[in-house]
Amino acid sequence: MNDRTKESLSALVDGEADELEVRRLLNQVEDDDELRESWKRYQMIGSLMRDEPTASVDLSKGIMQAIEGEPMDEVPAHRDELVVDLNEKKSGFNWLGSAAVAASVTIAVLLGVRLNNGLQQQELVAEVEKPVEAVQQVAATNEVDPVQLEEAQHKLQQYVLQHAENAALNTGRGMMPFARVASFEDDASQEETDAEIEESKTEQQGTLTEQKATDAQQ
Amino acid sequence: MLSSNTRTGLITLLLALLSSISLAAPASQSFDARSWLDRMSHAFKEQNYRGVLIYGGNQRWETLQITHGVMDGVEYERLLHLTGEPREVIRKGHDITCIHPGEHVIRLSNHQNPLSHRVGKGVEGFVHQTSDIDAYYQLQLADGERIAGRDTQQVLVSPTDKYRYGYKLWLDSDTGLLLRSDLVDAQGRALERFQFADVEIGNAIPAADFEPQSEGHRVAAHLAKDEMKEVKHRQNWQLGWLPRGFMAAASQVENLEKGKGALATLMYTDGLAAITLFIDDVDGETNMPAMSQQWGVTAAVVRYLETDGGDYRITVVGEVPLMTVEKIAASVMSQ
Repeated sequence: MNDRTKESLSALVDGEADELEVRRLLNQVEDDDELRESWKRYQMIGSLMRDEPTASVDLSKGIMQAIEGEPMDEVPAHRDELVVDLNEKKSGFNWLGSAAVAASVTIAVLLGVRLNNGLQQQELVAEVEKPVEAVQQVAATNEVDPVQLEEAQHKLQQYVLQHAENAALNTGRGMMPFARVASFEDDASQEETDAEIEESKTEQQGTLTEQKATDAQQ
Repeated sequence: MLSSNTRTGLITLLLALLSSISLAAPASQSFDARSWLDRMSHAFKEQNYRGVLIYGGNQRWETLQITHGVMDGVEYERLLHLTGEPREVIRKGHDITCIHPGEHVIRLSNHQNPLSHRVGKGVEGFVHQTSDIDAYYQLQLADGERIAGRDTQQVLVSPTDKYRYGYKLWLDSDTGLLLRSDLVDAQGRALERFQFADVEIGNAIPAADFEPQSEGHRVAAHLAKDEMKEVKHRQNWQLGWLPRGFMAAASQVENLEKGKGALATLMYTDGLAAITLFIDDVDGETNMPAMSQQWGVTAAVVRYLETDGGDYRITVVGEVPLMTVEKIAASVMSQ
């Protein structure tokens, strides 16, 4: 199977293949054993997300879905559950009091952020045995503007990225944890990415004893 | 008379044997599951493999190409995103004899492993302290299925408390390589999935295949593992609470120059889940609100801590329920 066919297969699964490509592939799949095997594997992408047993994947159904551009991802969005609570009015607190607060709450909902300002440590410790929702309070958000919030989120993403790097070495699953941060690396600006690369190079030469040992060998 | 006695004796013996077998079964199954995790941990590090990995969360899925090889006892790894922006992560020169604490947790025994001679003092302590993964996860074997054209053994890992997620792992029958991993919540719903669509295991991979293909690639670094004492000494940070079984796996004190990363980074693992704690000196500037956020299974929380010695920002990130990172963040104290 050549690279072009692989690409087409992938595009087909993505629902991005044009009609001509689909027909060409369908013909090829008919009389190419290797391609048929690959197609089955690529098909798992779809069944993965729909939680179907992979053995029962129906080739034609997958193709039809791809042609009709049906979404492959039908798993309910858990993030929504989290942010919905922001919209629930909490007793005695009118958080639509000012335009600034409204804007920051809207952007918080969009970003999936829950603001914890004004939440005391004692409250958290005390309520921690209750479900997370119980400790949700949106208070004192008037100090946060949307731009700030977005910047804060980017900063938090950098932490998550750093976390993934270390998780990769400590959870017995190789580099898999890196896959998790794929989505928001898009958001980070290129400058940030460059800076990180430089930073991690320096780190490698400087602080890591293991790295030094390896460098010496090379 | 005699023969009847013998028969009764035999039956009693048989019954005793049967009951001891049925009692012993769960324990031995747990041991078998444990040895599969042990194989998994070795395979990911010591095998050559190359494949297409699918990763799916709640709202999206990604396709990645993963290449891993060992040359002259050194690990080389490359992760290339096939969907979205071309992104690439390269890791090379990581000595395979450098075993991290988290890996120890899922490995059976340090001493049986000929590669473990280089393990540092601090790490050995962890092994004895926490080699009992079955105290906080229940391990079970289940029927595998064909994944990426290969037969697998399934291992079910269920948490014994609500502070972590569970896992369903499908390991390659031949090599123990993890071919599919589902992270599941308390209700048994899959929250994320890693799965190889196609994989080739055991073939030599030329060094050229680990060269970066794109300009914007990222070189992965990781924390040294024995700076923990230093962190404690300089900051007197106290962690009031951690879920059972989590232990310090790595830590780092950044240079104290402002704006150069977190003041202290501490990583904890129970062998399967990882949690990182970042402590920053905020010095009055609070451009980050106290907040909580989840990306798929990754939960993060930011809070502020006022001490006599100054104000600090506490950030906790981990692949655990949000409640867990919030509880950890709330328990950080400076003394």
